[in-house]
Amino acid sequence: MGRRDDESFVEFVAARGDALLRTAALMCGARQDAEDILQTALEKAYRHWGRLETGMDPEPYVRKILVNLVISRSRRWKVLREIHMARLPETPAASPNHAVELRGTLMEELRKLGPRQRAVLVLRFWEDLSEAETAQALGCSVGTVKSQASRGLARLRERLDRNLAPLGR
Amino acid sequence: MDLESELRKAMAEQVAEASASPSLVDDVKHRHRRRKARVHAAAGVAAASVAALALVPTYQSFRATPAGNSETSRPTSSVSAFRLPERPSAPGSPESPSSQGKPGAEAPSKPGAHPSGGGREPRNPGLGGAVGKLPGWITYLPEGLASTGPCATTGDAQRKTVTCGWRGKSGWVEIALVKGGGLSPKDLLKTPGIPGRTSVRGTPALIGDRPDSGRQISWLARPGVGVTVTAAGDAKNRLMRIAEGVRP
Repeated sequence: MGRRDDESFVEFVAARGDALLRTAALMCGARQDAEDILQTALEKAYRHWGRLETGMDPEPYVRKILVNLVISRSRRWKVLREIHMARLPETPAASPNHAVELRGTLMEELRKLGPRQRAVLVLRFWEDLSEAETAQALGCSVGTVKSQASRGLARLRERLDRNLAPLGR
Repeated sequence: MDLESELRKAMAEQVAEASASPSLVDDVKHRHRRRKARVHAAAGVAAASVAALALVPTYQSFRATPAGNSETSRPTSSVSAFRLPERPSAPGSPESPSSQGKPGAEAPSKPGAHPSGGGREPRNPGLGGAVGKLPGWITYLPEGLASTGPCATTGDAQRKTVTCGWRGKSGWVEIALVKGGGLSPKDLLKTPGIPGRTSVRGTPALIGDRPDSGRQISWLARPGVGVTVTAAGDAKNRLMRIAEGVRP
């Protein structure tokens, strides 16, 4: 089995760069941070790119690096979280487009979740990974993924009910 | 409300316009090169620090370890790096590191002057206190020895030998300093039979017994500089200590 070369890295980034950036943006909440984290993750992958077998798909490997980076950076760098938490709660107001309002609130609440819980929801519902694949990307058990996803959704539902109640939803 | 499908839609809306920069690959490679340069620079600094830590005690060991020190191990950075520079405190060493005691300075350049090994004024060189002024590169001699005369310089431009001798009731000592290229301890040792292996302050040395009941030790103090110390009588028992006191 051969090893991957530089050219295959370029092809991989060209093909999967957008998807990885979107995943990173959803997981860390800010576009600038997402680009920086994606570059860091790709650089880490590039360091060991030659060791990857040509037959295997490198995306789970890169995604795992990305998820670990997002989680560890969120834990370490609390400023990001504090900025989000420091925002004043938006005053619910009647909107002609309730669906748009709902999704905006959903994303706000998603950002307020813990990094690990947020990563589980992004991987499960954005990347459409199975519970086993999500567990592999996060380096935890399937049971943990199930519980984190369940708690994350419950928290979102609870907060949505509280925020959207004045709108009559 | 199906929260999961709403969440999917919300995520899709959120990142619909997000796309990777066209220069993403170049940025990643640039970042990789910068990281490599940083790692190499850090490794270089670490290597230079280690080399400096190793060189300082080595330098100190050349000029500062007291005579008669029975330690024969090579100085290590972990211990000696923080040791204060020790002065050559042994009696018999010169008051200043001038050329007075340097190898080669013992040659009688001034016919009327007393050479350094000539024994003009009685002193107590070395811990034992041999009579006569020692060359600066010899810091220890056993007690009761007196110089047999000025240090003699022989040889040619390629290989020069400075030989100094002391004699007394307790025996005699001869120290020869050889300077020249292509030296090895085997060239220096003039004893019959197979020599034994030992070390002088961590430097490998050869030792052997002479037919005249003397014992001889030879080593290369540094490339191109060899030392042979021969001792007989009671001084033979102090051979290693004398050898350790030779600092060419």
